[in-house]
Amino acid sequence: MIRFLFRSPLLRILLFLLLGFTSATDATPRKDYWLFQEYLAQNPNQIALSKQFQNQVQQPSAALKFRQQKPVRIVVIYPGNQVSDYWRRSLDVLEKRLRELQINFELTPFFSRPSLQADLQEVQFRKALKMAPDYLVVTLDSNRHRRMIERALAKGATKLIVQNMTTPIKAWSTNPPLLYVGFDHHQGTALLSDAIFARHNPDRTDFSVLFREQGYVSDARGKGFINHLNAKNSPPLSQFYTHSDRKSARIAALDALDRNPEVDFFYACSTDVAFGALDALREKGRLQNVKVNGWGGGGAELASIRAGEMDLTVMRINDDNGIAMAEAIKNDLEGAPVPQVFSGRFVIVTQDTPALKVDELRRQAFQYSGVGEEAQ
Amino acid sequence: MKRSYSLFVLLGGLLLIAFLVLSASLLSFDYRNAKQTVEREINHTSRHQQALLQSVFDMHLSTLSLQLSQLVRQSTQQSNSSLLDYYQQFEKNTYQGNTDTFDMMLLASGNGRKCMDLSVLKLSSEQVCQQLVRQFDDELYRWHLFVLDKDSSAAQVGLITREPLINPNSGYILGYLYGVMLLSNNVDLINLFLSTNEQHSLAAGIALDKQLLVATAKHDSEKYTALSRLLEQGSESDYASNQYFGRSSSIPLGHEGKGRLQLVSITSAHALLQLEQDVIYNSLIALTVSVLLAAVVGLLALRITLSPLNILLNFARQGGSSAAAPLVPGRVKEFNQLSQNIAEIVTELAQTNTRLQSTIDHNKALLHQVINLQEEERKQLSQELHDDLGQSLTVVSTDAHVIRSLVPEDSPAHVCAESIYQNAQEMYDIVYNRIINLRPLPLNDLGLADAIRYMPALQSLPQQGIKIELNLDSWEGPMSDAIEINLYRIVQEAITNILKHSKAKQAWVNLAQHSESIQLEVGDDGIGFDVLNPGAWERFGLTGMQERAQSIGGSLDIGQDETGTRLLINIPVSDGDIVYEACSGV
Repeated sequence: MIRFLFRSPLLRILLFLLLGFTSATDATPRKDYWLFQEYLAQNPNQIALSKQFQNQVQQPSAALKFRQQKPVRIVVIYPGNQVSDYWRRSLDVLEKRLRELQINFELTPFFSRPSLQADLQEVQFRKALKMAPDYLVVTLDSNRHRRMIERALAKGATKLIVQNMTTPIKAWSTNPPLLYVGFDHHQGTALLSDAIFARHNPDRTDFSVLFREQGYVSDARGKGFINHLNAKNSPPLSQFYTHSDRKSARIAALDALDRNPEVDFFYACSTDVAFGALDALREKGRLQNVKVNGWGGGGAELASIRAGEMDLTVMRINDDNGIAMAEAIKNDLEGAPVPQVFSGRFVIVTQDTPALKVDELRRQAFQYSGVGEEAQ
Repeated sequence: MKRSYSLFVLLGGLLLIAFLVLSASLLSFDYRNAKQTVEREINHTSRHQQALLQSVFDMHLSTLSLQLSQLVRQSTQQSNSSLLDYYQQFEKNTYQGNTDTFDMMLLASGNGRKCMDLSVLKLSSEQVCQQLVRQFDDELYRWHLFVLDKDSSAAQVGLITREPLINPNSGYILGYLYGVMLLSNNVDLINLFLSTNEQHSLAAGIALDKQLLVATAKHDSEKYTALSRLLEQGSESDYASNQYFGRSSSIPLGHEGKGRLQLVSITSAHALLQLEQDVIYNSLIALTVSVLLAAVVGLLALRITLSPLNILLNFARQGGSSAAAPLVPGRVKEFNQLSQNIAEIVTELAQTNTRLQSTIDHNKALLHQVINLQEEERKQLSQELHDDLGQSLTVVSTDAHVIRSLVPEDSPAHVCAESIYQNAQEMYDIVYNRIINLRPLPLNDLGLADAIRYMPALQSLPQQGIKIELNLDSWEGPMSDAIEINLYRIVQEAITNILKHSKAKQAWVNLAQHSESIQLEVGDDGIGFDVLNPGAWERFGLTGMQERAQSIGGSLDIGQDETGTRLLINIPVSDGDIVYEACSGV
């Protein structure tokens, strides 16, 4: 009888619906993903593969081993209309590395702004899926993104590269994307928190946290930082959600300054949010006594640090992500294994970092996208 | 002697035993396979059940999360610039019953210092409210485990989640709306778990630190006991009893590697027990039927196979004579061939036996003739010795006696005559003994009984300290010389053996006449000899005695016990006459 129950289609459908419902309704699936380190611990075979791939990314390119019959069609959907040049640079690196690898490709990019242009993203997703590309590069920034990615995964014809995410979703484990690529937010947050606390004693510093919109990135970067603060018994004075753009971040920062004039440090969860906070401080004339961090170490952030406005940032070795995506496509075409997750490296850049060292780091980080172009 | 069995019984028995062992092995193998399959199925079922329960639990949490966020979203208005604005909105919702899915709903400031219960009855104090909020200790977790009044018997365990209350204008987090779900005796969870199992053949529950917080089974039920025992075995374990299979797994919250909360479930092992009973019952029936069938078929097969052997056996018993049943070819080729070969051998053996018997009979007749001739020769020789040499020695002796009496005593002739006389006497004694040995004279004159009585060897027994007892019936009617002389010789040989070897103190000779036989017994109370040793027979002349007995149609038997050794000679008599006489002409 029990056997019958579990073999009955009705119960299977119910089970499927329950599982599906769970993943679909979990707005920020904090329980539904593995941290990068957890994933490696769960899948030890991925450790060696990951290291091998890391080496491949850092090595000069080696051409594709065979001649393609037709070009590979790649569609990229980026929230690229931000102050951060991370996305545009990433696309640039991807194209350059693909050319170096002598891969014949057709690349179609779609750009939108995060959060505010959710409808536009959905339209772009539909268009992209209609094109039935070989590879689709997307990011998971909201529930809408998640649902759209799940639709693409379910369709199966297109291989997905989920960018800016290094925490594999448990619910996707049976039908995973080709690659999760990005910079591990938790690792970056830990590095940045340590650097901030080294420069500003948490016992004597009042923090205000400026999130992006509600979602995974805000949780990983913002709540991760709050956890570090709580561990030091220094809870933040205030917390704000923004629309992940400069304008809403400015408004939030102004409100924070009104509510708590004693605030010493704005912890920003992204470049746009950081620049919104700088705008507010500039407006209030408090640039000198209230500090702001950047997140990502793009050209704008490095320029701001050089200008003495931004205090510090956690800088990604930016171009590794684009290289990794191109190398993953090449491996996939050749039938070689691709690790499930690729995470780039971080370095801390502060106002105290010598200019020469910053230049060297920039050259390393922007080896493909170009050092001179990132300053906006 | 070892007990022997017929080939049919042996083969049949072995066949049955082999079949029983094989059947039992096969049934045992089948049973083990079936049991493993059922255990595997129950194990799978148990895993599926766990997955289902976990999903139901996750779904419940997700639904509550969704309801909380929907409640916040519905309550969020552009005018909500303070926590008070939210409070007013939530109070409306509370009175409308929109928050009933939570056991408690708390409104707290961002720093948790201000905290209030939104429920109509205001169940929790501000202190409890703050205690709960403080247990929300990791920003990255959605649901947090809390324990209220941990050390009291009324400890409450539950899960708490929260949604930020945001100022829509600036994004400022004004505070949080906390939704609380108590796990202890949560009826919603019980109903949810029960809904996954219409037959209620299993039980499930959630536990913390080996204490069941909520369970679908009643407290005093066997299922509840089984759930408790499962918990005692620790987390992530399986449990198996005669009635239930159980499984426990942790419910990790957030990034917990291994959660403290345990989801436990048990599944009825009824299917396994039923299978066990069915297999045993069906196995017994199958075994009985198959054994009976096998016995019938095996016995028939054996009968068909072995029937030529029985015919062959009868044929062999009857010595391949013409009276034996003819050999009918059976169904087994090898047996037919064997029967043919054996029949040929048996026939040849029978013919050889006949020839051998004829030769033996001929030899016996020859032996009798030899013995008779020997005795006749001895008789003749003794007669001649008696008539010629005896008479001559008597004459010599008489002449010597006459000379001795005629010449003076001191003359040389007297001495010579005396010497001749003495030597003639000695010679006569020697000759007389030889005559007696060759042909006992009394036999001719006195008959067998007296001849035995005056047998010279018998006279020597007392000299050797052996007491002799004679019971000799006098013979009435004629008795052939052959019987007399042979019985005499047998007694003579036997007495000689007693003298030489027996070391006896007593010896006896019994000669009895019956209506159907003559029986002679010679015995002693001596040391005896190994009757079964053929060498002893030769050494003591027993073979010769036996031949003599057989030569006159009789038999010789040797009896031995603690009282002594006996030679028994039986000579059959027919109609008062000696059978030998009737056969002697053969």
